[in-house]
Amino acid sequence: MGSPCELHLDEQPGLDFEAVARAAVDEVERLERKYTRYRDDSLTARINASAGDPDGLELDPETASLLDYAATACAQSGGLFDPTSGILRRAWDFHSERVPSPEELTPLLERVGWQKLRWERPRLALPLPGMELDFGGFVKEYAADRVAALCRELGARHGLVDLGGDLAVLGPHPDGSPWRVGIRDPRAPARAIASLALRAGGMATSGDYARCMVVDGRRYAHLLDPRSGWPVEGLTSVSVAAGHCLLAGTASTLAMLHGRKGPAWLADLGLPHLWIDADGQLGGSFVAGRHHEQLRGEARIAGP
Amino acid sequence: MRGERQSQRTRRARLRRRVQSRRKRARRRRARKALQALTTSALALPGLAGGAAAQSREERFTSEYAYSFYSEDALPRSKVTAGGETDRYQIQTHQLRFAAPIADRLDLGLDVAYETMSGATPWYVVPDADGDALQVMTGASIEEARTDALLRGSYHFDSGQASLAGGASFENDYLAFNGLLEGERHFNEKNTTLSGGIGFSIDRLEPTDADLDPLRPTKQHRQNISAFVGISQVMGRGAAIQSSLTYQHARGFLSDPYKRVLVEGTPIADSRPDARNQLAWLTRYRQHVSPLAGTLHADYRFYVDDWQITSHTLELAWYQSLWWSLRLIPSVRYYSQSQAAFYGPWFDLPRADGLYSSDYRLSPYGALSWRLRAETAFSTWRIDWRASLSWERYLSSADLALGKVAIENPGLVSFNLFSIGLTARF
Repeated sequence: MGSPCELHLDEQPGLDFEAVARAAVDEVERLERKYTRYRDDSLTARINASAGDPDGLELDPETASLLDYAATACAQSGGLFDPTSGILRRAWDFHSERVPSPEELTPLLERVGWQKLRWERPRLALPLPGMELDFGGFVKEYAADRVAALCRELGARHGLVDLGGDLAVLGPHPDGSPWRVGIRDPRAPARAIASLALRAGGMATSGDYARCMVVDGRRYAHLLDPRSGWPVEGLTSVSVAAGHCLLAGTASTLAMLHGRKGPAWLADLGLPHLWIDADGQLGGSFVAGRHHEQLRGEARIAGP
Repeated sequence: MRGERQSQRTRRARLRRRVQSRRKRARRRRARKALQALTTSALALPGLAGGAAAQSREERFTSEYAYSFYSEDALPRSKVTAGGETDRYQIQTHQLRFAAPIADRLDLGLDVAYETMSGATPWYVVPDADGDALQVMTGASIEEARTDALLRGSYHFDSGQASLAGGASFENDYLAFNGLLEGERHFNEKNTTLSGGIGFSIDRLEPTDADLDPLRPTKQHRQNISAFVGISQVMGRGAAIQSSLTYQHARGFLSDPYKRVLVEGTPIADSRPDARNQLAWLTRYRQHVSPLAGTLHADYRFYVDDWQITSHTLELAWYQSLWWSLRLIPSVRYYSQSQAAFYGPWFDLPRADGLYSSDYRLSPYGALSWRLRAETAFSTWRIDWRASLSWERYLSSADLALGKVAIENPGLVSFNLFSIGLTARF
């Protein structure tokens, strides 16, 4: 999954920890193999290799449900959430410290757009040669939920799945107390800027602290608006808690893509959240004093 | 002049604020709707529906009130013996329901219903000079009240739930106790659910006004046991099918103490077998039609018992989602049954088994009903409300039956049913 993954399990009489851990690792590896962009034998690679073929290919129920989810997210966000936008990264090389020209962006943008796909479950066709689908925007969050569900199925009741910051709770500690999780400071990733208590559901963080570049004094984040092909400005980090990590992930990604309007959008959404903007300003319902208004006991702030 | 301008400015500012707040509310509604759509979509993913966020248990306190008014059409004069009562039954029902989680995996619910009934009921049938059937109605209008209470506890497992319920029903001439044990278990990532249950009831009848009608029995008992098994299967994109089989065995006094039947010119007491075995097979199909934002419900029920009644019920309903979480549900139901072995409008000759009934509910007939229901949901003061309103029209007649009926029972009922309901979750 390209980032450190952890499974925390509390003592539980009669639980076969090894079996649980093995199942968790197997599941993460299965999803990694299936959806990674970095292997030629992955399903993602097969889908992308079929670009230009009007017949496309038939997909398994799991992938089909993921695509249905992506279609919903895309429709509900007015095209802001778009798993076909990955190819825009080719124009934006964040190591080169160079802003792409419109001549570089236009041909890529022509191949971006969920509405250009033909998705009739279970058949998917990428009609334009060079189109690409990327599950990276949501499969890690889905994997966290899957692992939590699998662990619960094997009897584990108290635990936390952490796939590189995408969290899914199996259940609170045996004494009923919640899991305390920290939210990284985007400017000093080793330091927690806030910590919150998570009893159920999941939490995900989107941030641009990992990749960005500065050209002529202007900061360009790695998050690209699929409609314009340009980086979105406004927020540097958004964390959202929800019933599932997948939902939390979609919400935090969308909030980032909303840019300066992200905080208002998050408030409208009504999920517990925390945002940090480019000036280092902090806001959201995790911030002490306002939390009880919106959290309804799902997640509580320990204080920034 | 200046004052006018000032007030104009204030008005404009107020208008602006109102437009802004309306826009804000619309934005919030859109965001919440998006979240709802995403949640539904996420729950379709394998394994996610079993998560903590998706359990169908009572997470909050629920209270519900429902009122319904049931009114049978008056019988036409031509179907009733001269001078007889034509007005029929009216029932008003008030229902209250409370449910709340009381422990980690345990919910408790209480249902209480209070009904008041009034009106005349069909007593027995006589032939007129041409051999057509005429209804004799009970003379005086009956005024009765019934109270029902049912307490239910449900325990939620990771992949299913079990419920135990017990209740009682009181009427001035009737007392019943009932109990129920049922459970369901999910398989195959919640796409398949098996359910089953057993129930019983013990009824005691003490017909009123036994002195008014010497044929009315004084004290009688009956018992009921029932069992059901069912399976439901989600069939991918918005389609689901459910099928269940219910068996019921009743024994004891199964006759109607308030009815008589004309045998060889004499009205004698309604007399039915002292046991009845019933079997019902119900299949429901649901299909969501995304482009129309609606869902089709199609149900078929086949019923057979050892009194030789067979019946078919077909119901079609369309659940249409509209704006502002308003839902309209038009539905139509068709029903047809054959008669019981010992039924007749009247009997010119005695039967060897001594069993007789001219109850319209045991006669051959068909029925057609249609209903319109509106539902809406909204949130205020941190309470989630649901409100519903419905009207049903029901017509029954021998002409609607599947087979040919020689003499129609004149007591066949037609009614209107109005219901309103309000649910609050907090």
